[in-house]
Amino acid sequence: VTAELAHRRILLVEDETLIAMDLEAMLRQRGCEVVGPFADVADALGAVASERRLDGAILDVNLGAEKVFPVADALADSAVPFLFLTGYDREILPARHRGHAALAKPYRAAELMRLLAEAAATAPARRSADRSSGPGELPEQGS
Amino acid sequence: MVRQTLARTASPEQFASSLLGRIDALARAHGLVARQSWGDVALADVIDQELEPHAEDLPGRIEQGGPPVQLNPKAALALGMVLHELGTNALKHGALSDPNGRVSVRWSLEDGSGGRRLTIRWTETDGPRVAAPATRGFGSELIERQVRHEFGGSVTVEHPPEGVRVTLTLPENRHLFRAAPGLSAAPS
Repeated sequence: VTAELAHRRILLVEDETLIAMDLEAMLRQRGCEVVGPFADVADALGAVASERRLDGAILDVNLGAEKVFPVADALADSAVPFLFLTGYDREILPARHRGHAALAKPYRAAELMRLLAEAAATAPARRSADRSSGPGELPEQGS
Repeated sequence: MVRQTLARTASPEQFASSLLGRIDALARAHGLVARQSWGDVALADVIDQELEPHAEDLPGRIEQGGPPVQLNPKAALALGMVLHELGTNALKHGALSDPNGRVSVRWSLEDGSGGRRLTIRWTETDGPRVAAPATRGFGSELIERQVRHEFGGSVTVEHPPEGVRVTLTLPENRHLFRAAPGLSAAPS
């Protein structure tokens, strides 16, 4: 199975500028549309709420003093596939997100893109304008 | 950074030189932060550290001043990269490429409607006559991105004939820096 990334809309959340620029260039090279990059939780949540379509996301776990998990929760509620980038091991991930791929920094570009393509390919369906299809699940409220 | 630098350079020599400069800038800022046990560092020290290689060869031609401001490690690394790019540009094309040219780095804390802001003004004078560049290099993009992305701030670049003027406006709301009223502005 050849996982394709072309024309996918990918949310990018990474606070370190150099890494964000590198990831953005990498995604564009593969034909992705990049949403972001965002450096903090509030901006990223704003994008998740307002973007009509997201096909996948790369989430850096540590955003300065914040953790990215509220963004992960919002994406999970909208059935958008995502993967984590982390400087630590998987233990830092909350149990509810352990099923998602997590790549330790420094990452290998090819592996990251492969995991992202696989994640995007497993998306049940592209998110459409109708986002009320869930069976009455309440989105987790951020603090 | 390696990939980005490679994408923008014409020759292997230029690539190596640009990349080594950038790694050196990161290493300097990193060293400064590490010496504070990964704690806050003074803005004045970050400026000293990044402009030192130029200042040694050009005594009295780089001056700095402003109220005491402490940067957290993340902000120190980001501003260190920005100052490196500005210094490198001045040395290659601007005031530091001319025996009479000078650079001034002055900053102030201002309370505005959106909260407190740190404004850093980089002013080059007495160098070669300046014209706005036709294309934007990786250095300019790096500055713009660091400031916008990590600080949620803005950059303005002006090219009056007497020298480049760059203004960095950094809002305090991400808690990346703080005024340090207890500290003296005098060098320790």
